[in-house]
Amino acid sequence: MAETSLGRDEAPGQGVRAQETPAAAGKADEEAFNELRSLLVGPERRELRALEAHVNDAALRTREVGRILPEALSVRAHDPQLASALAPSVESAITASVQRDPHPLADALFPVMGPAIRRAIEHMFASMMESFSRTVEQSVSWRALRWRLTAWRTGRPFAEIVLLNTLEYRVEQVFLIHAETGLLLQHVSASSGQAQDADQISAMLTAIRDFVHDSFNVSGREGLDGFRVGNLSVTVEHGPYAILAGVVRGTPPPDLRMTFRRAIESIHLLLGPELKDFQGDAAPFERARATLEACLAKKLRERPSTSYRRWLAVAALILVALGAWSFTIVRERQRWSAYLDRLAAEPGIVVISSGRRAGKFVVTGLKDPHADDPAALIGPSRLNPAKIEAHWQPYDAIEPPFIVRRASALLRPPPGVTLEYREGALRASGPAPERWLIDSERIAPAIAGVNRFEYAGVPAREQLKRRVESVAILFAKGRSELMPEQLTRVTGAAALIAQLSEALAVNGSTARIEVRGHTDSDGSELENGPLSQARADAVVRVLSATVSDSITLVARGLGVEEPVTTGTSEAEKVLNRRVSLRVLLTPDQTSPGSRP
Amino acid sequence: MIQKKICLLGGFGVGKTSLVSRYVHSIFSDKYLTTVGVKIDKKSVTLDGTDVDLVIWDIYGQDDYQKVRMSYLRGASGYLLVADGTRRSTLDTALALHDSAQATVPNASFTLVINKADLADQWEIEDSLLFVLVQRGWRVLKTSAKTGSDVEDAFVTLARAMTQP
Repeated sequence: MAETSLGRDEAPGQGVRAQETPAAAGKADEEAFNELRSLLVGPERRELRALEAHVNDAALRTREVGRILPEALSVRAHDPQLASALAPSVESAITASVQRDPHPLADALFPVMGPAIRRAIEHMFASMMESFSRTVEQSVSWRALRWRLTAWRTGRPFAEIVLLNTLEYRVEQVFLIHAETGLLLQHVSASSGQAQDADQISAMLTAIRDFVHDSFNVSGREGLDGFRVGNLSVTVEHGPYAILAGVVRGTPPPDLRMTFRRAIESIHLLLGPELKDFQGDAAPFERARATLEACLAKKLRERPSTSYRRWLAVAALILVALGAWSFTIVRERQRWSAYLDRLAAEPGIVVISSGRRAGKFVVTGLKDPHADDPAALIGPSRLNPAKIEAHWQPYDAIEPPFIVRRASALLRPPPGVTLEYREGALRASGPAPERWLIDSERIAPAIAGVNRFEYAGVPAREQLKRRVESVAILFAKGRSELMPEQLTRVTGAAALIAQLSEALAVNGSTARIEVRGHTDSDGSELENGPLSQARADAVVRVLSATVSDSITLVARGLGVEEPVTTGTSEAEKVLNRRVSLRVLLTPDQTSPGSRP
Repeated sequence: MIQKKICLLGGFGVGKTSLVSRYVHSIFSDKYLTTVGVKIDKKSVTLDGTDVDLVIWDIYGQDDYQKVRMSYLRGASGYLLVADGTRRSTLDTALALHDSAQATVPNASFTLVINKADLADQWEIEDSLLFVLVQRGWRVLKTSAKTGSDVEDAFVTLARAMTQP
């Protein structure tokens, strides 16, 4: 209620007058009260009005908030709540700005982006040049050949293999250094001996960093990425509160920096508050030890002397192999020519051409079928038969041994008979059956190189003639009929005559056979003459049935003439009662039997 | 174990280096001073049973040709101001360095060391002057690098000041 009445605007003098009359007194009371009220709360009321006006004046409020906003923001600058509250607006503001016109933002960011991009490019370029120069350096070496093989086998790029193999280095020590004080937070070393002065080295590294930073007016927090003295280099990675410095012997690979980068980031993640509030107690940073130890990478190189020795060994091997190879070649050639000489000397073999083709020795020529096997001659030459290719055409050699061999193969001389060749004549010696002699005489001139056949013994027709003439066919006293037991003698004679006619047929000569009848001394001349003729006729009748045209049979009765014996006993008389045969060969110049 | 970074500040030739050389461990040679402008030493002291490793940045003395690199002070918990008792001007240099150092490390503790106390006959700095400084709350010690008197004390005093909350 009071507030409602306070809300009314009344003059301050009214309350004083209300005390004068009852009616007026009530009014006066009211006036007095109002006056008192205005006296008591007047200033507040005015302030309230002013505040009300103020609150309703949007433009004024905006101005005021604008005045305090920067201060308000700076008061809560480190409040993560503020950051997360502002983040969406800032993001959409940037997006909107870029959408509207990207240039202002690009211009503003240019001084920041430029160095960052430049640094990234320089980094990339430096490592590229490094790997390129290594590649060139290694591209013709023995190792490079092996790496190319590895690259081919594993399907990875050659450059990658080169990088993997040439980066010889060892991270010997890693320092975790508090950025502001240069105090050592943690230290790991590949070898245990160098730990005691790490805190001084840590401070000195920081001093050097500061020195470079100051001396060359480097802007920004970071200054020294690392430095290098001869084979030793120090790689430095900066974080907001700590620095990671690695002492590297040899050439560090480009990705070592990434390893360091990740390590310093993970240390900041793990120990952010401890780093920020570091007061000299390094104990909490024992937890970073494992991360630092992971940075102690190394890559060992093969000793150059070993590769030098390997080179020598390879060269020696090649030399030995070359020597052995050329020795083998020379020896093979010598053996080959020796073999060719042997072939040329071999009767019945004629070498026409020789040479090498597709790693094989090739020989072509003529070979008598009766010559020795050329392959059998390879053995003594110690050549590999598989490496020899021979092409032989058959031919007849006319050297005497081959003629003899050929004749032997064809005529098959019986045991005891030997063949020899002299000036066109094939000459057989030794006891030979008529049958074979007859065949040989006929066949031999058909053999290459043989003009005629000679026999060193008695010729076949002579032998036959003698055997035919030794036949005697006996008769009974006073009789001219063939006795049955004498018929076998007649047929034996007929067989001999058939052989003789065959022997004659070889050169077409002929013979005359006289069939002569005889009687004993008993009886008269008149009786014995016709009896002997009758006996001869009887034999001719049997023989003529089988005799050939080259033989002429003549029957003659000789009576008592030309007895086998002149005795008069009955036993002797029996032998004279007979028919004998006489062969008359027609003289023939070409017949072998014609020459003694 | 606690580590602290402290610096040695002072004009040229006040004997900073010789002041500490007998009492500290260093792996670096003095030539670092003239090249990089700083040399790192190490001194271990024990305060109430706690080991404190002082990593000492011996900063090359200011002269007419070279200014002290104040960036070397960054992160220092304390510093020793060194003056030469036989040269009045070195105290002025020390006071000037103190002003610069305060700008860089306003929360760092410090101790003023007047060196060459052994050369009393050549003394140029009156005790009254030092008394003024002591009254201002400064810790002031007279030391002699030659005799070693109070050198150990200087470090302990500074270390105590730094580790007090």
